[in-house]
Amino acid sequence: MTRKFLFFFSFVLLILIYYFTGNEDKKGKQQPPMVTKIQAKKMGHQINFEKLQLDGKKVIGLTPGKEKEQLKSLQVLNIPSPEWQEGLKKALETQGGNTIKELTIQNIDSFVWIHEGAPLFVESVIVKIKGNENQLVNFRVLVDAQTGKILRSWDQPVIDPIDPRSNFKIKVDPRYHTEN
Amino acid sequence: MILARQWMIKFLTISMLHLGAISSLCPLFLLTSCNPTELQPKNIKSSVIASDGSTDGTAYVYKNSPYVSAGPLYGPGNVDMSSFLSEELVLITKNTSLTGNCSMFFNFSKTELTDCMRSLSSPGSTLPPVPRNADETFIFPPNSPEFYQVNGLYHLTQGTETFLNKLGFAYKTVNRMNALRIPKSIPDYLKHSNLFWFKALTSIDRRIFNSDFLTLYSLCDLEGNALFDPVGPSICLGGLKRYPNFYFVQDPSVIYHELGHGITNIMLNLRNGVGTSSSTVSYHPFRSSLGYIGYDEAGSINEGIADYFSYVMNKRERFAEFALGRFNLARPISEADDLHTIPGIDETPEGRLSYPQYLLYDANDSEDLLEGVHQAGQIISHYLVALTKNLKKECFLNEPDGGHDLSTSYVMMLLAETLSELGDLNAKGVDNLSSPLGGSTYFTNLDPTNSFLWTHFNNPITYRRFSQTMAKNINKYLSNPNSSGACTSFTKDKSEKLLDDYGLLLFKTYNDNGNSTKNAAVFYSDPTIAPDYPKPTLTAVSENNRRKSVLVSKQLIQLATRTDENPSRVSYYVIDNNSDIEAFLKELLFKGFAVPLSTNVASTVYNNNNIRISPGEVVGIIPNLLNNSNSTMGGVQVLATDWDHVHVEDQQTGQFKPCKVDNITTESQGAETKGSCESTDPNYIRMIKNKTSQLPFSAAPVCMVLSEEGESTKWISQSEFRKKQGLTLLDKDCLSYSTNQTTDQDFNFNPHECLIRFLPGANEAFFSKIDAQKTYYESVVKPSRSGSFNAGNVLLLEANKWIPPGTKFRCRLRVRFSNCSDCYTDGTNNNDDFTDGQYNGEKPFQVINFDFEIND
Repeated sequence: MTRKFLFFFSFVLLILIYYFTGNEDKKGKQQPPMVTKIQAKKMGHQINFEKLQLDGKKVIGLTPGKEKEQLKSLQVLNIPSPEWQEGLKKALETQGGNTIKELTIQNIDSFVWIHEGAPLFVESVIVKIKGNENQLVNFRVLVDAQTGKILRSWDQPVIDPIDPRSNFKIKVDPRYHTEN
Repeated sequence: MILARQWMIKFLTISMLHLGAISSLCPLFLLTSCNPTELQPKNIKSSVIASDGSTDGTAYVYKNSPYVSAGPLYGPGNVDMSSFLSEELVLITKNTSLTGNCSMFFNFSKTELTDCMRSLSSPGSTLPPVPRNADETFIFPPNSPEFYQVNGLYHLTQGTETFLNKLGFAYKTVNRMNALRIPKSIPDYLKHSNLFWFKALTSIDRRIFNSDFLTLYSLCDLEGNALFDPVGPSICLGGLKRYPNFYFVQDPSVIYHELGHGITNIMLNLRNGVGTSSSTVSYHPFRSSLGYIGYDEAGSINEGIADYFSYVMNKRERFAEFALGRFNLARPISEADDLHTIPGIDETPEGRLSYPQYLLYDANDSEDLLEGVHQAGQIISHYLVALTKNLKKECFLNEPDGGHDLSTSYVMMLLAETLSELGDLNAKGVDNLSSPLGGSTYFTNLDPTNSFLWTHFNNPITYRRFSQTMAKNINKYLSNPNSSGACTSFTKDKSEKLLDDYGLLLFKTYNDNGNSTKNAAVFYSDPTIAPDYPKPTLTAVSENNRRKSVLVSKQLIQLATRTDENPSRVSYYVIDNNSDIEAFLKELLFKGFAVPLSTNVASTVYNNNNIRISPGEVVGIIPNLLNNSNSTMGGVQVLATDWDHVHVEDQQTGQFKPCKVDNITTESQGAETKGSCESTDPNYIRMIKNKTSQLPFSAAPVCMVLSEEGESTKWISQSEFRKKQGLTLLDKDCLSYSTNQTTDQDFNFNPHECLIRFLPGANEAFFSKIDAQKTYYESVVKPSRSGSFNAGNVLLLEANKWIPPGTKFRCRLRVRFSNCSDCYTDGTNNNDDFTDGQYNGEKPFQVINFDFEIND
């Protein structure tokens, strides 16, 4: 019995080693290493045709009249991860540098969106930023629900300064026009 | 007499505030006894409060700014609003705190929204709206924060009621088009979507608005600024620290202007919630807006409409006489205003504030050139006021008020129809009579998934698109007797002539034949789409009416080059000093434009300020365009967004050949003329990496790289180059690749922008105008006092730190301008406008090749 068990165990081990070595090779060839995991998850996608939902999330952007057909074959590329929020925070901090005093990310909606041809799980959020000089700005962004990558921003404020000459300017580098 | 009364009021205010009510009773008694009619405003407030409830929710308010009440020299120091209060109590709100209600008529049925607006002091305040006093009024000490909140709500309510009345009028007026079988844009289902206000369905979710009411903050900590924030939604009115008693809220026209931005936002989005009942409405995930960072024409139109709304409210032809005027910054709204001091500006056809001549005109400082949305917007505000006056004169002069109310209602209706079509993210533009149009054929802004990109970038709302759609609606609703026009004596000719007076007759047809966005031969009237509509015909502009509006060929715009005659000309400016780029990135962020910077392979820390492009840098690029024509070009837009300019050779790898779009990239350099290069794909699909291969795509990044192998030099994709040239860069070493700790794939990463890319969100530049035979720098920057570029001029480019120095790139930027003769219309198809799908290609543009070499 023990021998049989050891034989079976060794057999399984060999298969596993072969399996993982094969994947290492694929990694060396820059193949996506997460393929198996992704496929496994995709196989488990729950589709609700009545509500046009995938994994409980609304699918927006399906062609009217062809929704069910499209939903059946929809290949969403990314996998939602709670780390999108950290990714977004990091991206905003990179852009704002040391001028951000407070940053709030308010999740508004999660859905599947066909972004420029690619179906993605996305998060729609409101970003609120307070700057070092207490300046406030609110706007919305759509981000990749896996990485937090900013796909679009909208609903920017319309600002009316008292002095129209106070707007942001970039001086012309004098090296371009030495004759001046 | 008036002065004496104001002095007495002031005296009493001080008495009331500082000595208390008891000590003021004696002079109050004396004054009231000698001159009872002079004391109405606030000093006898306790004596006029009725116990029958008739004064509940009332207060004394200032109906005008101190400029109107006390003359142009009043303020800005020591402003005391107690001098300007109404003689009677006016109703602020029937609610028990400083909140307001809204209502709109949909034909004969009234829809009410309670608590649709609030008045607070500042965004930092955690206090609820101020409740009524014990006497049930909203009478608070003049100049107190509560006093300003009361007055703010009063004027916000006035503006909102006016807007909703006019939108109700528009709804009713356009509705009759159903009987005439003519499509309209203001949807019948607006009453279900509730998008006539900010209310939406926010109590259910907050996808549309953060709050279900508009908040007015009267005393914002906002130095020298006022703003409209669509996320709130809110209006924030600031002040100036150097004048402690001066606030924008003291000038009602500023409230109307900011509300003007709010209602413009509403009108743009009227069609972005679709459903035949309240329970079935579905909202587009984005909202349209009017204006981008820095200068552009959409932002200028927004400012022009906001100024016009101030005119709608107070009939005065100057905006912000007090809040801006005390600093010599008020804006005229018509040529009749005496702020215009330069000769030649008047209300004659020749004297109009015409495009593009007056784009940079500042009435308060006409010696300087100022590239700003507020200045350029004057052309729009002046046009709208002139249109209103024309309607009064032609049709409505006999109205009791001289026609102001009815004329402004029609103009607001035209704006609502125009903006709702242009901002339609569901991409239909029209309905099937009263029901939403089904199917997958679209009639504006390409299609629902790309509509945001189209209406903001690829086919944005410019002076041309705006004036063309306005003209179409004027013809449809006012001029045309066949559609029972409301003011047929304002004929199509008169309308075109007025537009031309403003240089805005920038189009050849009205683009009103209803063809679809992807196929010019498919019309909304087709039997399978909306068979109730007859097939519309394309309305042509009468060329005799085009006198001032000059159209110029796109062939005459190019990148400037240094010549013997012009040795100082620069093709493009590179901004690569660390401080300018970091400041620009922060400016973008604090204006609400987040850009996805690459991590690890490019950063401003690599910026070396050598005014060249070096590995790892994040640089600003300002193309210096030359106008080779003899007329001014206006509204010049440079696009660095992906477009259909390549032929994919291998779907698996996505390797491509550039299409031959000009004589610069030749076939011997790898250009392709056949296959997908023979036509433009109307479906916008970016090249994005799939799990195992490339997805099929129709739009490629703008930058290609030169591959030099022996004697062969070819322009190839960046992904091909990174493998071919022994760079062996992994995806994770590419620009735009973004992952987090547990993720090792980025599915919206584009391998063909691995080395060089224009940053999304900063890949469009806008230039107000370029004079004849001059460059942009010579036309605008050099002659202006600031000698600077503005934020809207800049494209942001990232260079991968692994690019070998000496590598050569070519970026195919696309350029067009608003008064272009061949950027919008198809000469081979009766001058019908290009379909939206064609804006995915080169036909409507002049392709500008931006060539550069990476320097160490």
